[in-house]
Amino acid sequence: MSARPIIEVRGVNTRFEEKVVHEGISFDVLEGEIFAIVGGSGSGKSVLLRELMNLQRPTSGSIKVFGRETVGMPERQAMAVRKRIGMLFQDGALFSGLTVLENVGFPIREQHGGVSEGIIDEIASLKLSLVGLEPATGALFPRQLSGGMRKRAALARAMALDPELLFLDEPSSGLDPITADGFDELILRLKRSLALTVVMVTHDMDSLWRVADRVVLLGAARALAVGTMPELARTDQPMVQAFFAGPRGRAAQEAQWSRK
Amino acid sequence: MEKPTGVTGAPVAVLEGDIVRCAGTWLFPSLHLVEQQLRRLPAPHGEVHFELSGIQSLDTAGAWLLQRKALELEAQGHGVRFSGLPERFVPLMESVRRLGRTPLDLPQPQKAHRIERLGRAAGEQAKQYAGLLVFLGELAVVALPLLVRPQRIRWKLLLHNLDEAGYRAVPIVGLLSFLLGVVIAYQGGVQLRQYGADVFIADLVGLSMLRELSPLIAAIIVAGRTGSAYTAQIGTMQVTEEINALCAIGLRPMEVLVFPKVLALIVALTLLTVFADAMGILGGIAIAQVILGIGPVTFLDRVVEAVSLESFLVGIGKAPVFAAIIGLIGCYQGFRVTGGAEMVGRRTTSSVVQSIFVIIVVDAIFSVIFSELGI
Repeated sequence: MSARPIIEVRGVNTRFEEKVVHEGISFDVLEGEIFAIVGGSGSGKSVLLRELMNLQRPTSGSIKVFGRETVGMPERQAMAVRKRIGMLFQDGALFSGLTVLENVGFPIREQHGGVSEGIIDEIASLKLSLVGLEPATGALFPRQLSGGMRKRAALARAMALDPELLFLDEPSSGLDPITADGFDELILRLKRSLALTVVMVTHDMDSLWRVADRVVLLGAARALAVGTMPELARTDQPMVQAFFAGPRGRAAQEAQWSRK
Repeated sequence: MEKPTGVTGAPVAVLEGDIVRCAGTWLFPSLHLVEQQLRRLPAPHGEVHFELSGIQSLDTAGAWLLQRKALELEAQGHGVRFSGLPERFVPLMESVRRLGRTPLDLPQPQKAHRIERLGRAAGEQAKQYAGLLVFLGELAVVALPLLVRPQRIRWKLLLHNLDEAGYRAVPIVGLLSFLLGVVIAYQGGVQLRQYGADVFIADLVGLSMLRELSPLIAAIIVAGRTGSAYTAQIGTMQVTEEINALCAIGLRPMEVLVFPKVLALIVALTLLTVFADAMGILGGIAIAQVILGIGPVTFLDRVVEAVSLESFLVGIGKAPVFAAIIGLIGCYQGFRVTGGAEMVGRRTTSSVVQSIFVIIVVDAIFSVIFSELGI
């Protein structure tokens, strides 16, 4: 796999009035990898994700997505970049007034007018089976779905336009461990079959060990470490150690080892 | 997935002998072109061979259209063979072929017959009003012991609600009833002057405002302002499970949420109606002075003579009933919220519509009763 960077973050600073959220954050996301952004609560993970998606502007610094500078990009171009990115929001953010099938077909219908209705529904239904949902699920409304199904449906919508880059905000939050495992599997399978690049924000140690190729750890407004999970777990830096070598981190690691 | 980097070739699918040659970009933006090309293919004989080496880029949509055509041909009894697909598209095509083996039977949304829908809607309405009566009963069960032992009433909440629903509504209720008085006096005054009956303007404004219009305008404003707020508040609490949290702490939502709201509204709307009466008269006075030259003293003298105490009390007496209706419907609709946030909006709308509807129906019933009683 070529190691071309698909996102380049350089010296990003974010301040909300007096509060410093990011201070000089830099890292690359390489094409075809699953890259995780981790950190404690309030460490600015979600803000960073929104900045990568260009929904929010950092105070200073540079963010290049697909090789183009997105900070300060005119809105029209920003829309064009966003079209190539799929985003899975934390609670799914499915449109509650539409059925699941309409939700998945919505981006296609809006972005590509000329396609006939029947084909759109078929593609939407195909996307649903791609994320492991029955076609019959398509007729339901989001409120009729369980948490795990809702995430899958939201993922199908995020993938509707075949994005090259997929952003996941806390994909396993609110799911039971078995459902969360299933979701991890799904992400791995999709990445393999569709050559996706995935950027995820997560707290879930299990999913970090299982799916993440590389990780950036945010803490004290900085990028404390960037690397693979084993690399990070081996660092001596106390703040990194505290995060990965705490009881939860160790349990997840042991679980992973015993699986191998 | 392949991106449209510098690839401009339009999608092509042409039949050459038994071979369908496919080439170009098979992506979302050119999807309708792909669709056209495939539809125009002439009917083949025997096995069909798709030669795909010319495809420069392919996404799920393109792959699906190809697979769809293949399924269609197979259904007609033709053999189908793919060849030459560039290596990088193989995983995508595989997964689409695996998932889309059989033609997808899409769930068809069931449309009920018109008469069935009408029946269901009527049943739904009837159920709602029955539910409202049950709600009234539940409130009464909570309210009666509280009224017997008023020290158990949550006065702080009551005062807070009184401030929200009453005091803060004073400017808008005052302004609108003043304007209503102006409109009636103006429209009536012009007519009355033709008959030289100028002074009866006071009868017209006084009676219509005090007996009918002030209670109605005040109630309608409060339904839009406070009834909707009650629905939205309780509905949101329902969505975020705050209502369940109250129950879990051992409190009765009826006692904590509904009772103070309804009681506050009864007090507030009654007071607002008196205020609306005064402002309506004031509007009448202003117009009488300006267009008919009738001074305030004469006007008020006439009002006192024309409007009996009964008429005034009839108007004021309706206010608590209207307030109870608004409060009950507002809270009831709030509790009916299930599922997500979009229901809050829907219930708020029906709360306002239903309140105003019931208020006008009840007002009509009052009119009949009062005229039967000769008041």
